[in-house]
Amino acid sequence: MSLLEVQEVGVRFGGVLALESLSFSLEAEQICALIGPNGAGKTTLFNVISRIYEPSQGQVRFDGHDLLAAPAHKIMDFGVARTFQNLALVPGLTVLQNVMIGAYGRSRGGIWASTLRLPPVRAEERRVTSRSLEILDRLGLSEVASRPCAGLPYGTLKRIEFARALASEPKLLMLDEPASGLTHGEVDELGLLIQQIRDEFSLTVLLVEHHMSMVMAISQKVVVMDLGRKIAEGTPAEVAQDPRVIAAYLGAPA
Amino acid sequence: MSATATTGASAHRSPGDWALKVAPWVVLFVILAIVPFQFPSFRVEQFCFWMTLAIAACGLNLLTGYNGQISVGHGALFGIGAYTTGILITEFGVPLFGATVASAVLCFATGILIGLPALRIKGLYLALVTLAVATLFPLLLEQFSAITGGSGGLQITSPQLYRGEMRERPIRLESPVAGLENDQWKYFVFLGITVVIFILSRNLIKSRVGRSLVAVRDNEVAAESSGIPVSQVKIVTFGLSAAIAGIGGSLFALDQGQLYPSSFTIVLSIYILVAVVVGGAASIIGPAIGAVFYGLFSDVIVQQMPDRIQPARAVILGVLLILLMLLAPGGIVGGFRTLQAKWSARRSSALNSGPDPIV
Amino acid sequence: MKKTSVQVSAALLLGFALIGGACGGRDDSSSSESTETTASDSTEAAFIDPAADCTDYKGTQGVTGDTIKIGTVRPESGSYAIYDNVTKGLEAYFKSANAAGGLPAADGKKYQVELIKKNDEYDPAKTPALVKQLVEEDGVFALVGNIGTETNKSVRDYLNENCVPNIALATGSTQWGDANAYPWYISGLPSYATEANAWISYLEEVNPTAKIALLYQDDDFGQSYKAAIEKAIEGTKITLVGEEGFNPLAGSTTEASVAKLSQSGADTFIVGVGGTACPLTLSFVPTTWTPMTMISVTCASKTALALAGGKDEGVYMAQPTLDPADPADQTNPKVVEFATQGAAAGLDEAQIQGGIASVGWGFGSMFALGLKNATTVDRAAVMNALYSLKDTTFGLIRDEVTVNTDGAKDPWAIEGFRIVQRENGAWVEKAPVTNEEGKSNSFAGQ
Repeated sequence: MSLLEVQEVGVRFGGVLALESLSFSLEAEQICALIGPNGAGKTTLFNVISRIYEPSQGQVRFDGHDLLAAPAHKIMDFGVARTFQNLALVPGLTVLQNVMIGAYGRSRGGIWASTLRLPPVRAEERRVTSRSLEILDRLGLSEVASRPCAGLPYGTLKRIEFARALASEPKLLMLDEPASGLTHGEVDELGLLIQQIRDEFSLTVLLVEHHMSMVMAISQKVVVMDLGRKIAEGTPAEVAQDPRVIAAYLGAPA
Repeated sequence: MSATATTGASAHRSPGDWALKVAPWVVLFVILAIVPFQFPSFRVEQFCFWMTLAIAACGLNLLTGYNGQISVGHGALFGIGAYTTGILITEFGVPLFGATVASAVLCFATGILIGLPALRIKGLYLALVTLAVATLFPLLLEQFSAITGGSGGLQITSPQLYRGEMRERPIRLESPVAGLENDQWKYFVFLGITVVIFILSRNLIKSRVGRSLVAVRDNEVAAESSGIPVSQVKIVTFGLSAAIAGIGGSLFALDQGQLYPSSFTIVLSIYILVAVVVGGAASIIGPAIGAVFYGLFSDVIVQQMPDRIQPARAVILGVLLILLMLLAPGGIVGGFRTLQAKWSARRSSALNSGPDPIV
Repeated sequence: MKKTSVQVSAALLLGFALIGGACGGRDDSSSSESTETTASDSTEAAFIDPAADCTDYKGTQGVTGDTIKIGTVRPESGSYAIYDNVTKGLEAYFKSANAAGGLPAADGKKYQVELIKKNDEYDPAKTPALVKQLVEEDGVFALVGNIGTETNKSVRDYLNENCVPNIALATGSTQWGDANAYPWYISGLPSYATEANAWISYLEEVNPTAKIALLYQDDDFGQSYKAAIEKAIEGTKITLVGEEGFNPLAGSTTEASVAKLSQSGADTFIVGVGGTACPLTLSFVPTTWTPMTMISVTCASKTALALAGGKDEGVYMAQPTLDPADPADQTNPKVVEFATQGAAAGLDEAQIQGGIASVGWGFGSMFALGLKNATTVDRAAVMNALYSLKDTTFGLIRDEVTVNTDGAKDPWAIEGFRIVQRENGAWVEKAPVTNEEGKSNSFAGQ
């Protein structure tokens, strides 16, 4: 059985159909890229899976759970984590604390225990701190750990979001345009990093990305969308030859 | 103190740095310890009042500073704490600090109730709801004058022996220590409670829960997708904040021994908010500094001004506030941090010892 | 601060407290000029015995050389600022006495008075801090002419416990009759209950089946009237057919209450509210309702009634004092003295005639009387003097009103009223003074 199954999902904003009966599935430890022109509905789909948008129809199943039956903050419990196209960091916290936010659902410590700093809370805090530092280290962010997010370069902030998502110990990692704003060299590096992380953490990765070279290099599967519909699906090589895709997307110089 | 200490980035602090960090606290404690012996008793009682204000501001800071929910109604919660304490002691003979605990519990529940609309409305609209609560509260006190004493006030009394007979007499904290007068004893009891509340708040802010408050404030979507139950966090924060304000109010009742609705008007709510903003929202010690600032202003500086000008104190305070916000938008603590950052940047631009955002 | 921060802080706190305690006691500079006095009153069975009743008694605090420091608290701003004129009268009295060489005391010296004023805006929540400041920081000898019932009540325990005289309270609340428990308080006005009793006595004469509509201020002041009226009409044919409470702090007017009372079928309207609300109440009375109207003494001044929009014509009041605006009283030596010396001390014509400043003048005069009669210049001695007045008079009290006090048995100085009616802007006597010596507390049911 597939890890993620998106079935017949439709999203309507007023009269506009943002997603139309979209279906695809994702196998464990695959890297899958969602591509398509702007406005194709890629981020909308992300928002449906992470329960920010309520679809008007369809089903999303993940790892045996009905995602659409759970509230947004429970999705992470099932093992779904994401980053945001336009960054959703917490500027009032340090980089490290932002990553620790990611571990919120994977740690314990209620309001009273925290207030009294009971021993289990302190032990938990130490555990989460060192784990978050490891992740930061792995992503090359150790140096900025104690800095506030504000004022850091865009690419660094993207990585911090990546680190925060990893801190939640996800099974499925959804990255929304992780390479945007990066130089060519950095994009290649990021592609490599995503592959390594996938292997180290046994992750499944769902990716929205415009950098075709990276998509083609690291994906096992590509889903092509246009105007809210899926127009093609397959390996990078298959998709690249699909006439509909070429017409809709690749035909235009990328 | 938290992240910086644990990241290892600054694990090897020199003893000099440590002394710099500790010295201000030692000085502060010494000043706080000496103060009640240097002033007449009514001043010491005013200091006690400032502490109750600091506690309420600490509660509001959790809500507004850290969780981003604006409340202009904490004066009412302060008042609920005060009147609950007064009524429990006078009518039901509850022990003084037992009444404080009961007040905190009741205010927690009230805070949850007021916080419910906060799930649907935010920002200015929430401020308006809390404003309504603050405006209604003194009117409710008048309305239920049978239990609150209305504008005639609530005398908080307990039966005591006076001039040879048992009479209902104003409550007092009797000093059990020979060298301390009653007001000095009260001061130290209040100071102890205040310090504990600030330390507990600090614990909370530095914890996983504290981070979730800030995350909800700064980015609800990010918080939600990180598994933080945003609604629950908002409501519980409201309750907790209200409970702390209620403790402040309860101590106020113990300090004053009598309560009048005129103490709990919208003006009080605004002053609590002023204490938070002046001291520096989202800084733990800020509200205490703000409360002292306000206390100095209203109980000392205003008293020195000619009687004719005194009614204009709100205007004067407003002008001062505007000036402060222009000079230091982050309040006193914020301004201090900016100076500190500039100073340390000049000292060593290479060191990544940026300010810890949630100290 | 880590795990043990709470304990460490507590320990630090306690440690510093001990250090602080050891490093020196409280700075008592404010009262350093005072010497602790033991009971120096030689007269036997004086009403107050500070040796028995006071701990840490500072009988001469505020007396330095030949000056004596007096404090007073009043509303200088807010809707009760009209009463600031009382304080202006008080100040004028002391100014005039100072100019004449000072207030004479038993020790043969004449004392200059330094008056320190505080503004509590008639808000009892603000009064305690100000009064404590006067006592502890300014180091006053006594408080004189403090305005307001609730405000005075808010510091009653404090002042009595610390044995600080509060003389000539500008309130006639019946609770000041409890001189047994609160001997350091003495009112400068007649008891509101005695005033209410005077109204009812007069009603019994002229309208024995009167149907009363009562508007009362919903605080101790107005409730004093209400309780006394209810008690006074017991056993008579007079009935209370309508009553409305008015909360002066709620920011509303009495208009709705007056409209309601006008429908109650009453033929008598008693206005038991003070401040500007009282004359405004008169202006709200509809032309269709023409009851016999009794107003509180607190609103009977020319200044207050000027706000009634002409509706003060025909109202009645119980009057214990001379009215400087009344041509019939203007030749009385007391009024002449007030008018000339008050003017010399800075009161203008409107204040002199207004009838409010003259009350404050009387409070100053009451303190002067206490100081003059006291065996020594000592707080307890002054209070004892004021609690043993014999057939005397002060201020602008009507000559027919007898002034006697006798400790807790008769704690009220002024207990006589005449009934007057307002005609063409002046008061016309309708019934002569009746003195109710020693009965004030009984009218209040005490």
